[in-house]
Amino acid sequence: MPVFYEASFIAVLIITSVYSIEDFNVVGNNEFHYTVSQKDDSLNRFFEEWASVSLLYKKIGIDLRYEAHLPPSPGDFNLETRHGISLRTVSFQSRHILVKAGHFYTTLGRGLTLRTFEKRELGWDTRIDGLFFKFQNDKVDLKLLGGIPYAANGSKYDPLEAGEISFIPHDIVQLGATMVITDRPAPNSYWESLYFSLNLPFGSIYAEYASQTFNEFLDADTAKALYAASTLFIKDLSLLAEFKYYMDYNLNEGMVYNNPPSVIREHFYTLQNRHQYISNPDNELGFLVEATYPVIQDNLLTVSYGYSTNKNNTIKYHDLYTQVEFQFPQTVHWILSSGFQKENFNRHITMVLNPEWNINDNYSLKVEFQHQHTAVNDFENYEKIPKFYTQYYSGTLGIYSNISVSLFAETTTDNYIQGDFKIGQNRIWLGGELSLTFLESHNLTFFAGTRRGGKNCTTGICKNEPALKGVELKITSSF
Amino acid sequence: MLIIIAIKVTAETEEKKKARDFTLRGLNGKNYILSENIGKGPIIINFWATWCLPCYSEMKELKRIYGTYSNINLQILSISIDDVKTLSKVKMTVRSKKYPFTVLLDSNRGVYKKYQLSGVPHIFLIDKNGIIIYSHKGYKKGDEKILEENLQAIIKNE
Repeated sequence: MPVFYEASFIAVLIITSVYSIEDFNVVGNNEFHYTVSQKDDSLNRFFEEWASVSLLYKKIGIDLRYEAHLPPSPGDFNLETRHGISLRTVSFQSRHILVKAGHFYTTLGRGLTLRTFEKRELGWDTRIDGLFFKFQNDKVDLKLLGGIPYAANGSKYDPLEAGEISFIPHDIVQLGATMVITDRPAPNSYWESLYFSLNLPFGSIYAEYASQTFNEFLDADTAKALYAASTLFIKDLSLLAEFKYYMDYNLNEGMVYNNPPSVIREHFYTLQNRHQYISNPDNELGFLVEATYPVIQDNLLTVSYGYSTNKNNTIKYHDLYTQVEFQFPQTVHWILSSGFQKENFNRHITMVLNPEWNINDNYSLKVEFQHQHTAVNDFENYEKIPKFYTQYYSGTLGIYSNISVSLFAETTTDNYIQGDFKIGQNRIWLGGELSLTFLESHNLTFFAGTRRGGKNCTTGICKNEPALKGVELKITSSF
Repeated sequence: MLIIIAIKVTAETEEKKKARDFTLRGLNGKNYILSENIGKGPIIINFWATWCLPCYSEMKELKRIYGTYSNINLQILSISIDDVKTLSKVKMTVRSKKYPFTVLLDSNRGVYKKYQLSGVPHIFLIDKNGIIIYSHKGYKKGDEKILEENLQAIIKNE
């Protein structure tokens, strides 16, 4: 019954706003996921729903979000639905001022001292419940806030107070400072940072240094973080370099408060994304360098290398990536890429072939072929396991702009996978998907077949997706 | 129930919505205020990110559209939702892909949430009165034709 009441509340709110109060500007969206998957002899059902509505009357806004999840989080055996109003915010916004009361997300600097955010695809939501004030004009940006942060699992943490001020004496220069006061990891911990950015036509520099003070329980000499990024453009050559040094700078286990840049390349392709480096601001050192160059006209070549380690050198992660994009013939856009990832003793070499053929104005065909060669070590027995490979195929036929039909397949010769299936079984996953867009703002996606479970990573955060053997329905609506 | 309501509301509400105002800092360091630019001509707003492959396909078409309609004061606002993890790649991407439009940074996703979006790419076409004429999530070949049809309708009405 509570679900019914909450859903009705939002429904009534939407209808009354749209139909009876003309001056209201109402936008919203609804995301619905439903999955039925066979595991052993039983059928598992997964259900997720997010309904968001935002009302704006002149300068006053109200934002509400309702969520329902069954099971409460992926892989949970609890069969009770977790549901409720997960976001409620009242705001006032004028040309230079924004005030919010309720739930909000924010980032100070590049997130070394504070970053709260939502990543729905990873089940990540670290909002703050409190007060937020922002002043912004051409020369000054000021943020002041206070409240209780939520962890990704929904539990509350110690309150915090924070602020950021930055000065923009000229369009090309910005100087700023941030501060967070929390009782993590000890009462009255002060975490602060200073940053500087220079934005020139031929390149840019950003550098932020963070430290903690006034805390007798922590060694102020070790709790430090430094992040720097720079771009340089020489004619058609574009260069990027990033550096990170994070020592004892995770304000709370599980990154509730802060979440600095991971300095790891975000991969486009499934097989490479499964082997992303997981960020740990407590103990991390690394860099990333990347170059792009148009080899022939607009045919772009990208080369990237990233390295991460910890202070004892017990973790070493290398990521080398090359990609070339070109048109040949004029109607086919190709992306060819190769990558080498090394996580300590595990090595992955990946090749990707990704052409997209625009057959005519109404039809397009996109194909993806990924091949990954892997060599891993068995740490328990200190033996080298024979190499195996994994291949991923997909083909998508786009019909006009609103219908697409896709086929997905994955196969592996990995004999050491645990969990989803037993050794000796056929390791092939095969599925088909229909995607339909209707009334401009509604999208329905129906998947049937099998899909491999495993890590799904974005920006250094990973989620273990359960394997699927069944059907999945996703409906997204905007209004 | 919520899905049915959402579909019903969209289908029955023919009145187009006004674009919500926002202030964002651009890649060039300058603030951009939407309301101060409405009235000058049609505006296309596209939300994108450096890690989004379909966004590149869409922006390639936007680049062509920008060249074709530059004589009618068409503004294209390309709003990057890259967060702090990938923010440093935005300038490099814009430079290497030679995007000629105004690029704005929404790394806190304040505007993205203000428009209640649920993924990128997402595109809006706004007329000179600030009314959203066309809104579309995702990119598939052919979407650019519908965008152009709507853009031509705006030009014709003006």
